[in-house]
Amino acid sequence: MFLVYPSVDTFRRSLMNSNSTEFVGLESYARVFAKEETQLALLNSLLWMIVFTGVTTALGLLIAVMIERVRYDVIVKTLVFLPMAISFTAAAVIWRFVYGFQPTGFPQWGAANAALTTLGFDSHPFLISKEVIPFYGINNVAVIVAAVWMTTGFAMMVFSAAIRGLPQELLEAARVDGAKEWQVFWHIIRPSIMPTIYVVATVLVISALKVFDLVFVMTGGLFETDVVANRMYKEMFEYREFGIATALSVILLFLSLPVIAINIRRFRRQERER
Amino acid sequence: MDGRNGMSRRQVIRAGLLSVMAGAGAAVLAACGETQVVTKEIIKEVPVETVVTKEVIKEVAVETVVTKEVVKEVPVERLVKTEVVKEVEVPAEFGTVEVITPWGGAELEAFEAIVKPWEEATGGRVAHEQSPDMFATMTARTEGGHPPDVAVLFGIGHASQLARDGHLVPLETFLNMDEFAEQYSPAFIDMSSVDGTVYGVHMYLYMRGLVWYSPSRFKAQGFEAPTTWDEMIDLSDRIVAQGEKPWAMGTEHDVHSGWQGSDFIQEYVLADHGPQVYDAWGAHEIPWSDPRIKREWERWGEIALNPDYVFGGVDTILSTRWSDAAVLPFMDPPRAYMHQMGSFVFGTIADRFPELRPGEDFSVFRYPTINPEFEGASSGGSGVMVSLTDRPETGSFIRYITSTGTQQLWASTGGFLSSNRLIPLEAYANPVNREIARVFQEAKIYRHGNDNTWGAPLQPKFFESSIKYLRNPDSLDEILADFDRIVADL
Repeated sequence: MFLVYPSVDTFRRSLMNSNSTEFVGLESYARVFAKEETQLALLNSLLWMIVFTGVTTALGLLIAVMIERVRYDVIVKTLVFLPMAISFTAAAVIWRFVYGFQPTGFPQWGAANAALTTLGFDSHPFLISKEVIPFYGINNVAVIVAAVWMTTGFAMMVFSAAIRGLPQELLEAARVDGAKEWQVFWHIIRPSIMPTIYVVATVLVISALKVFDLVFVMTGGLFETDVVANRMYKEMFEYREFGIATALSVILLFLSLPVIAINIRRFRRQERER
Repeated sequence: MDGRNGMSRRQVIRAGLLSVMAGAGAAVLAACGETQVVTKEIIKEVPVETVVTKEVIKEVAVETVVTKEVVKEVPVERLVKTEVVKEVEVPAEFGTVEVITPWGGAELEAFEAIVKPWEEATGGRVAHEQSPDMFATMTARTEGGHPPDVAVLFGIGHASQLARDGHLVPLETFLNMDEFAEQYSPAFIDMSSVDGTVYGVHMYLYMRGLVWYSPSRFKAQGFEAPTTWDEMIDLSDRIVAQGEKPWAMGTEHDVHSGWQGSDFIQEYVLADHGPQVYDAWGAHEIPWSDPRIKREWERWGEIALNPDYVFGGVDTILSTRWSDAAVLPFMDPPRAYMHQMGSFVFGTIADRFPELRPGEDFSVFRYPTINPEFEGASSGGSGVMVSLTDRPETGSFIRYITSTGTQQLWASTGGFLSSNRLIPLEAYANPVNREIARVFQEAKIYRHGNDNTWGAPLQPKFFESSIKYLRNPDSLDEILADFDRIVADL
């Protein structure tokens, strides 16, 4: 009831005009793909999906594997996990301060630029930077970094638990047979925790698709950093373009469907194998 | 029942009090000397005065203190009579009036000080909610079926949109419109009306075409406030030649980022091409891609995109919060010498530098004349206060807040420019506010911001696009063509 009714209503509105009074068919969808702003939001969400998911999964896995062998793992885990306790909005504010920008030669209050200028470099406007890494502005990466900082702890915790769950004899046996550590990781740990990696990646893909607070607070979606969720908000509440906003949300739903479908399939297969 | 009896007496007292208050707040008594006399009269006017105890009289004394700021012009008796008639419906327990505004900081403090006398006199309470995003908040609240009682909207476009959607209560529900017409000029009443029905009052009027500067620093450097565009460019070049920056600018303001560009460009269109072009543009009779409109975008670019002119260049403009940019010319050493900004930035500067003397260390000059044919053209904007419920509390609050007495009290808090025309220049708290009020009153041509009238989607689009233009000036033609497409779809 709470899920179906809004979904159906959203779909209905996505076929209506900007104030939901007239039926216009698929026109809103056409406009979503034709408008520069919405195109950009879709492309940026794609970047988020790939970079954010990839980096967070890899980093979480790396830290989980590495701290397995050290004694102070609790401290590291706590530190990496700590940002999870902060709300996205608060984290966004923190990172805005980190990226704070003043022209070179004036006192810097942003940590990143303070570090840069102390080292003798020019200060850099991270959040509005125009420099482009193939196709995307580097400021997208600056926002994604904040998200990675927040979420790595989650990935690490889950992976760490999965690795702990592996039978120690298996790892010991491999080591006794002369496998190097990275071989142990690649040939034993990785395949064994693959289902966990899938689950974590799914959760991350979905949170990448619906990321809103970070972008909203850090850049407001300006400077070519807009993502689908923020654009949706803007079209709905700022521009009062209900048609486009709801069409975007339907597209968002369809984008996350394959990820969910893949997961359900894997889950079923696992159940069968059991 | 005992309690009920008590209640009704309290109710009577409230009614009496309110009417007294109405006389005071709703608009005013007489000059200070006559205050006492008038107050007595009011007490007589109230029909239920026999029950009134000493307490009430004491309260009345308080009231007279509160409304020291008074104007003579309005005939008191008439006001009182109308108020008494209306106040009969006051419920026993006066509830809370929920008010949503975009105000924070100094503006909010002033507002809270202003509503206090009303709260004390009526026993009602004002629950204020600050919204950083009025469009979103109002859409959510009205569509969700929980409108606030009163809201201060971002512009008249937003107000008329809500009025057409049937969310607003006409002011005539609460106010005597003849009196209202005496207090507020027809131009302003027109702007907050839809199809002849008045829905809003302009609060926190602001003037756009102002440049903030430090008269004492100008004097020390031998600069003079420019009066024409060429003089201004000369002065800017002179400051550049000294190795300093003439202008401070900042566009960052959360979701509203970029409104500065929209403000400036509109001001330039009015000052360069006059009210007819300005109005035609506002009514979509002139396209955005018209060379005259494009010229004014480029005029903004001439200053903003020139790294010699602006502190820090474009990157700094884009990453500096608007209120942080406003203080740059007053820092020590100054980061810049001039800052184009509306009158509302007064509080920001005064708060940040309490030691600066208004009028000497910081003040404003009218934005230099661009086209002599339209000298003295000024544009501005306002928050529009509207009511969304017809509860008696709402009515009492609206009557109080729109009254000349309240408006004058508000003007004396600094930073507030009232649209009420009965308020004399002397009522304003300091030389800077007086200067702003003077620019407003002496404006030969006055226009409200077009973006105020447009509302969504053009207004947020304008904000967003002005940022886009600064980032990529070459895309100006595309940006303007995009506006024309949106207008065609309206």
